[in-house]
Amino acid sequence: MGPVSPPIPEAALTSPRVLHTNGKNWSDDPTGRVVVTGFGVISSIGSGRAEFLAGLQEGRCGAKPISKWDATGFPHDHACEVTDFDPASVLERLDPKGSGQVAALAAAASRMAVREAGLDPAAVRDEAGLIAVGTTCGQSLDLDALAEVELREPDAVPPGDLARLLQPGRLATAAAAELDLRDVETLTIPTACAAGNYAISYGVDAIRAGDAEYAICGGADSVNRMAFAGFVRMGAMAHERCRPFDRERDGTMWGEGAAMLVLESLDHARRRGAPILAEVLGLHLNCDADHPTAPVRERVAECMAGALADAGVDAAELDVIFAHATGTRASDPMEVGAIRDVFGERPPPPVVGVKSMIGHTMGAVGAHTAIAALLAMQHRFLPPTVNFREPDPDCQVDCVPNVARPAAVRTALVNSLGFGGNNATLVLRGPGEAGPHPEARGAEA
Amino acid sequence: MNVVISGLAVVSPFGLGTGPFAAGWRAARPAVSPGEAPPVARLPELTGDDFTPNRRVRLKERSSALAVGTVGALLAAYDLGDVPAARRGVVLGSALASLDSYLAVSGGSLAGAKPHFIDHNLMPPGIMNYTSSQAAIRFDLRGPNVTVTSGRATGLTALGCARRLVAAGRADAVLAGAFEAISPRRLRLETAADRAPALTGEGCCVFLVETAESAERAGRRVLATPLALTAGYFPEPDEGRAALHRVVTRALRQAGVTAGDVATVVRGAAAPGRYADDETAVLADVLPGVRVLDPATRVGDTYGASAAFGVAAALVEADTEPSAGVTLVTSIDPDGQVACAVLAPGSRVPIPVG
Repeated sequence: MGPVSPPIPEAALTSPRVLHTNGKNWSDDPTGRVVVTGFGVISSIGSGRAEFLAGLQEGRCGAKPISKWDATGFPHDHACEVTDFDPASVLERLDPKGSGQVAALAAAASRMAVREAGLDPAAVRDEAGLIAVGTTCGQSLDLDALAEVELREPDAVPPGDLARLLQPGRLATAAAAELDLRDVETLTIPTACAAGNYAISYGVDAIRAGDAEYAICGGADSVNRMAFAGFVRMGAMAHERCRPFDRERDGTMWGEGAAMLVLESLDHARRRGAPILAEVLGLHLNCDADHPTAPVRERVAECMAGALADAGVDAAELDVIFAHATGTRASDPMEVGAIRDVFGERPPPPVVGVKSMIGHTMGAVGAHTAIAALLAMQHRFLPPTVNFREPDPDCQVDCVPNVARPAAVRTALVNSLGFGGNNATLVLRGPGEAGPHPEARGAEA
Repeated sequence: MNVVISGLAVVSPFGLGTGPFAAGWRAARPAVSPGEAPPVARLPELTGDDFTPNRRVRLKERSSALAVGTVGALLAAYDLGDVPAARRGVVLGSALASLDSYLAVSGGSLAGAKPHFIDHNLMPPGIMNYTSSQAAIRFDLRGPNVTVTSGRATGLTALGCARRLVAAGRADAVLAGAFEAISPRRLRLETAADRAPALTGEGCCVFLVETAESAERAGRRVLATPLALTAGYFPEPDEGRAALHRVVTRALRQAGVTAGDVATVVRGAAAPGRYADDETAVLADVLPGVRVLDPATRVGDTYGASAAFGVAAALVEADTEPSAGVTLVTSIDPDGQVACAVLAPGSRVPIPVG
């Protein structure tokens, strides 16, 4: 567990104008303002606050040959698995063997999150809470195990212990079991690779509606045979490295991990003297309603513009954009184009692709990226886009290539786009000085 | 802000559409498919992956086909021309979601000459938001597009999510619902987990959720108003009864109604088993003498769609008994999810039959 961060002065969280699309001015209402007070993170470049921060600052890359299952026969076999973290090392109540492997990751990240937030689950047991876990593939490793059982005996009734693990809803219930909570709504949000941001959005709206006093939201996924075979088959999987915005990028790379954030109203956080890491100023959710796998630039731009409007933030106030940046041939230029649509003639701030480091952690990646944004705000740096070699004329952004950069980060936008045309954008605001963007910006663009 | 249910579409073992469901429900007889063991209640007209109530839906995953078809049935019955595409949201879910397609890809990878020699058409259906996104693609629904799953409670979770999206101003109209299909694998898994119900069912229910003002403007009748939606969790089987008790009493308190106001409960536990007994005990304690209805005895146990069928049954009941009071819908899942909805009846015009 990392050190608890110092509280942020409340003045730093005051937004000059926070007008939301429904006309309510949340900035005047501390119960309607939703803040992040802690997070738990498990990733291939480091798990826990200190290691994940070091990974982002050092520009680590988690890519390596798949080791958790037999990838023999694939033309390439790299992914960003978590190989140095055992959920049992942080779980206090849940038996990871009985919960399913991805559910154990979700529960472990939830435990780490409440510890960091200083939120004793026993102290909030009588309050209405929420646990929302985003995912793309749910209990994937156990589903793959079932596929092996079925290969041997196609129509046999599988072992009961396995059959009881497979429901994707168990990602959220495992976290509730770990935290020994009762008056808590639990749900899994399988909105593909936008799921992490969708889960955070669900928590924000639940708190604002008064349905939950606190919410533990994020995502979890593991590198699995289904998604790997599917993407290799579609030619969308990077051979050795994920290189967003690079001229020779050859696809995305699946990553494993979990990322959970503790959300609560500003009022609730103040009452218990919690460390406030950032405010979720605004968000937008939309759907291309067009093509299952080819994102629509116009819709993505609308999603970003919608989140900025919801936050009451001008695009010029953004210090960084955490792009979806999968590293596929088609998606990166589309997203850069959408960013340019939002900014018009003005230059956008640095556009970072953290998937180059942690891999595409699917339903967790929005939450992983939001946590990267919180750390960037608190430790005043821009995480890099690693594995970058040569600029692509179709992706002209300052992607903070390869090396993290000192910078004041106050306002960040986090994009998360998923299969099926699902888009979700968050705008986060942390402590720090408002004002011009870091001087270094644009140098490499 | 008053968020209401102003539309309903159902496909069930009684037939494809709200009309057959309402007729079958009122006849109060079980829809059992002949000659099958264990007993199942299948959609009579859904063969393979085809679904043709209004427009042809051919999808690789049967559960997706029936759900997208139900969304189409709702849109055919209710004109949403007054709602811009970007303001139309979707919230859909099931308990097992893309299980069969996932295993088709994973199993295909294991069995193929090379592990990536798989049918790539099966991969999108193997991702759990396939159904929600296909609904958006086919019917131009560009607003928030949410996939939720919370076991048997999924239908109430979807309704609650839709209600919040509308209340927060993120969409003007949300198509919310839950679905589950029968497949050989589902039957095997339920047997393996000791969760095989007396009668296995399948189907989908989709609700139109919007503000009362929006419904009135468009001339859409209010079918019901959710007064409260509560959810909870229990980690150990012997805590199920207490957990359900808490969400039911909390729902009544939040709705501001007393036990005397409740005319009907539509229950949701899978029967037989300890959780059905728990539900019976909780209802007897909190609402002694109340009329209790069980969709599983009519359409079969629809698992992830069961709570949605509870809501659909409540809407049909309110339509049948206009003077009836408040209806409760309850749900309890062996994985620990409990949920309860309190629904106030709507205005008196027949439900459009889609």
